[in-house]
Amino acid sequence: MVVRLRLARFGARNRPLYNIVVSQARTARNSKPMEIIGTYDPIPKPAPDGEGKPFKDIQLDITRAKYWLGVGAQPSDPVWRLLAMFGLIEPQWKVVRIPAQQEDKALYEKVQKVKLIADGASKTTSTTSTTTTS
Amino acid sequence: MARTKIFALKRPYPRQSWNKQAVYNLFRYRAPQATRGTFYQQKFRAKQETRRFHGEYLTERKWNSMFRHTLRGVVRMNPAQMAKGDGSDVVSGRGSGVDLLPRRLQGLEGYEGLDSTEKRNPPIPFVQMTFAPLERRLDTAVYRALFASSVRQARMMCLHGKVMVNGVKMPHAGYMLNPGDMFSIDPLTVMRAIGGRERAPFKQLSTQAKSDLQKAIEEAQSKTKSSTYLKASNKKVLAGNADAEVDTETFTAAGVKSTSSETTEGEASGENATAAAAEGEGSTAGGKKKFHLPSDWRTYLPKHPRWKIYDEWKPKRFMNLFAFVPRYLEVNHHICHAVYLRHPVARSGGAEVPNPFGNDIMQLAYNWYLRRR
Amino acid sequence: MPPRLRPSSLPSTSNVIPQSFSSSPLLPFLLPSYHIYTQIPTPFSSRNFSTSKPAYRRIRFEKTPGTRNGFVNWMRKFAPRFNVPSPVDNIPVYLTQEPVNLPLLKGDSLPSVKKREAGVSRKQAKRNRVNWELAKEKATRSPFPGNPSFKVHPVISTEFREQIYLRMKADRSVRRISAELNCELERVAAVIRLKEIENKWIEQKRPLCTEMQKRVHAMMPVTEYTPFPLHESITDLRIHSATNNQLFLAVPESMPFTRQDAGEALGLLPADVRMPHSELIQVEKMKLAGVEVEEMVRIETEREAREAEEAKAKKERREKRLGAAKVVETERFRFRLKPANAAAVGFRYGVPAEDRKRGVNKIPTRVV
Repeated sequence: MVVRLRLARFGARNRPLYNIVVSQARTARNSKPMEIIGTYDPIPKPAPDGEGKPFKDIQLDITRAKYWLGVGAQPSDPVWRLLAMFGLIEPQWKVVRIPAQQEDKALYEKVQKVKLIADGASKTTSTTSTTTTS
Repeated sequence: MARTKIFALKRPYPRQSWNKQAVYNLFRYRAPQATRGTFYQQKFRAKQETRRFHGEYLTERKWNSMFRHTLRGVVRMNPAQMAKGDGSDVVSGRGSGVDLLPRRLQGLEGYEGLDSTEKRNPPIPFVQMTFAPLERRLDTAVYRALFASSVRQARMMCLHGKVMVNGVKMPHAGYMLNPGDMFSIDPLTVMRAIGGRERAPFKQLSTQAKSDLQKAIEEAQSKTKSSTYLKASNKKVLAGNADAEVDTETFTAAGVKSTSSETTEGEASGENATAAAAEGEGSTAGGKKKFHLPSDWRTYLPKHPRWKIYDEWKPKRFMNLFAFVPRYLEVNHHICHAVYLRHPVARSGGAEVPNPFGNDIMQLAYNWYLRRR
Repeated sequence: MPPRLRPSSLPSTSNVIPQSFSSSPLLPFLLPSYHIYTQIPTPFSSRNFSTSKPAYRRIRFEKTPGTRNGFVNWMRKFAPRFNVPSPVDNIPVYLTQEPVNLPLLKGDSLPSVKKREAGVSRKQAKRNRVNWELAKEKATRSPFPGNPSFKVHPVISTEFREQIYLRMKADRSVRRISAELNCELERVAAVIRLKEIENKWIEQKRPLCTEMQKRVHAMMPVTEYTPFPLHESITDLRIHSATNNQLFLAVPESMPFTRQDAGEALGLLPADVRMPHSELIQVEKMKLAGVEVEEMVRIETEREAREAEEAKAKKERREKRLGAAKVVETERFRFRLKPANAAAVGFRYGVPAEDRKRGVNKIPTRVV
């Protein structure tokens, strides 16, 4: 049977709190685990100064997590994500998203180039634009 | 809350409120004679009297769990004196320090400089601190910071979610403040709570004022520049500015203020009753002319009553009799925020807990709660 | 059972008492109780039923202080005296403004009422005996007539607050501002904190309650800002509960018993250390030793710098020990990553949750 690093749900209705636990894969979610190595609070707290993004708290015993990973424990997907934040493992997926402003900028540049073609601008610009479009 | 009739006139009891009956009762209140009855009766009576003032809306069980027999006090230290000696002079002599001046010699010629220590440092009134744990309660602190006109009102504010502690809504009136906690209430709520009666908002406009207003609103809405000020989303900014520069400008440009000042006066006081009430759109007034004012036309006026209170606030009746802030609070009325600095203490000059009862009554009440009765 | 004696069947007092006494407020006490209750009813109320006035009439004409009429009377006659929304010269008006027993002048110079000079009325002579300064002091400091030991302490004025904030902006430590302006440490910190919020509000163009602040301060004693203000004592030492009990200690008579020794005996630090602003003792010692002012300033600045460094190092050490939260920022949230100990972290198993249980206190004890 596989040993997994996974989350066990605590808290109340609409107010989840998770323990990051080490347990046998086939046991019930909230059964007593082999070890508790941390907690995860998925409810965002407002930033203390009232500015910026809200906070989420993660607590983790790093040495124990390293040990369990070393002996072959398999993290579940959510735990994988959390452990990756601590830099213990490589992230499973790298989601690269272009921020909204940059997206706008890219679009703007694109439009500019199209415009230049339509206007029949100078030769150099038109060649560069054709290379990019092709 | 057990009792609602708390300002009965038949027997006066002091209450924590600025209500007129409460003021009258506090004015003519005479504490009961402490020497009448058995000791048990005296203690019981004292407890009754003091509890009617301190946290009267709390059950006895609740208060009993809050009571602490340890009373906080402070002593003022004098660094200049401490620099002079290491304190050994206090215990020199026969072990009780340098002899005090006997009472018979006090005030006589040649003994002026030597005063008894008791006179220099009057005793610390510890028993006045009996109800100090109640001062930690959020509702009491709100009342003490002059954000409410009675403890019950303060309690209501808490329960209605108006009070924030460290920027977080705290709907529990019984929250015990910790040293350094900051609590705050919305200024409009505070100004209404401790303010006098507001002037009734005007309901009538003269025909002239109405047509001017309509013109102004239309003009403002048609113009792109001034309409930015008058957009519904920006209206609050417009009216909320303390100096009201923005809206004055707009209205001068639009023409409301350009009419005579008496019209404006007439608007504000509602005395100019020549026209019928301008109720929203399409009401006929002053004859045949029809007006199409938006339903929220009042908020377009430069001095809307909702915002007027910032400039024309008046204190509630009898507020001056209760206008003091205890030393353990630091209050800023500009923004209606206050900080609970530390727990109240007793010192040689007097205790910090506001209390209308003398030391003899408080001593008896304290003894009652010591549970050795 | 004999018929119950109704108040109306009692004799009229004017029949019993000589006319001259009738206006005395002590009337009930001058009369021995047997006198009232053994009187036979006077002929005009020889009926068995009550001849007192009907309720509606009684209420309307009764003028005792304990009823609504008394209250209305008081509101008409006395209330205007106490309701002073804007006092003259900002001298507060409290309920004690006209105390029953006015304090009298002391000493031989007390003018007597009987042997007053010609042309001075009796009333004036009585007024001359009153110590008005003391009366005013009492009235403006104690809001409760029944408890003269409670004194109102002034609050600091708006300008004073501004000065504290300016000094903070000039990079002075809270400790130093507190010592300079004679304000408690906590108060200085709180004033700065509140002022920051106020400035934020001004930035956001949120309206301030300037009018309310002004009028509230006009009603209470206020400490105005002066170059050397005397607002409050800054060296108040908290009485430790260990000092409340008597302690018997054998001490050699030839040896001095100092504050240090007293602290050791009680298991406490000496008062010189526990006191807020304990550095003032060093300053006073330097003054006694006749140290130059420049030298004193230099030493003090050095001490301040050293203390600031120590505090910084302590904070760093604490953060290191607790593991300062590393923050990972994602698109929508910031994740605070805290190292923990596996033995102590997490929710335990087999422990019932009491968050919905009756009788368990659910009010939070602290808001961070």
